[in-house]
Amino acid sequence: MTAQTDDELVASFSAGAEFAADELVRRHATSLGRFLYANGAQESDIEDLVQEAFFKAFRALDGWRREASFKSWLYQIAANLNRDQFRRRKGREMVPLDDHDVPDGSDPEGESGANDLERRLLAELDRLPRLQREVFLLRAQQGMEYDLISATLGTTPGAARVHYHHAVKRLKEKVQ
Amino acid sequence: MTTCERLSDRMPQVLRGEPAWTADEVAHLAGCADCAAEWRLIGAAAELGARLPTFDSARIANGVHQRLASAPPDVVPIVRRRPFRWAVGLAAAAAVVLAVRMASPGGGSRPIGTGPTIGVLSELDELTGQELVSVLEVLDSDRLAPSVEGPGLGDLTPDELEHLLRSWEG
Repeated sequence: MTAQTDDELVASFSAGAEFAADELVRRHATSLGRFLYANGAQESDIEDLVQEAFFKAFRALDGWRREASFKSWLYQIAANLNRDQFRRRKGREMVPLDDHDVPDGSDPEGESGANDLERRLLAELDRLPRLQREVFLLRAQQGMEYDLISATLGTTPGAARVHYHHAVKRLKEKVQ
Repeated sequence: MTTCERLSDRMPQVLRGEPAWTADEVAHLAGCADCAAEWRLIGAAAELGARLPTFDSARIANGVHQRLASAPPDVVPIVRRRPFRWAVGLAAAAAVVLAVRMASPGGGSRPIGTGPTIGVLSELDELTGQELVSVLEVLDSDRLAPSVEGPGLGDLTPDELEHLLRSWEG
């Protein structure tokens, strides 16, 4: 049996089928949470933000113009919620590096080095202009194409491409 | 398009297992420090948040259903509210503009903002804060916008945007 597309699930939900909402949540919640985390959300806020994004998306389905995918619509709402939360919180609380996070050469799996790279990447992402950061994450982390990114963030595919390359250039300089 | 640009474009897809690197591309990655650095960066970005605890999607879905069920039925979704607010703002703005023009001796030939406005200021007192902001925005755009709508950032070509961003970033 072929899995239903997001659009089909949205139509089912609009017709009253609650299971369709459950499936959409199951399908997108984790990747949306990771996007929010990388985009500056605090870990303690992420589940609430994910729930709020789905709530707003389902609540406003009648007003959704369906020019892009449900995923794009959902991420657009989540990015807006995250910006509001960021303004309220005045940014991410950066956790200082602990001793065990510093690579000491006795880490054959390279796990602590990977943690350090993640921390530096998160710190530099925080410093990027908002649109560069969001374009970069939607492409590098979520694998979206530029047309979907542009629909999500309200820009053009060409502009999204430029923002992405600027973000990559800056991150390469700062993180590596 | 250079090999570096082509690889850069493909990295997010290759990372997700879509057409893997060809032998030529692997050789290029091995010999190009810039591409190798970008490949590490994209790999790290794709892993961001991978260590977060897995969400209980059933709990999130239940929470969404409960909120949808308990939301007051008369609350209009936010996407519907905005046009209404704008309609109020625009109607108020139109009323103010008309009042200003009728109050000016030239019968409307005087540019907005240069005529007597005291007579209409009391009307503004009756607007809510949001409506007042809308009115001011409309008036500003009416006064400041050129006769032909100017280009926004979204109208620039990628080259023009690139040039603009470079000039901002120094």
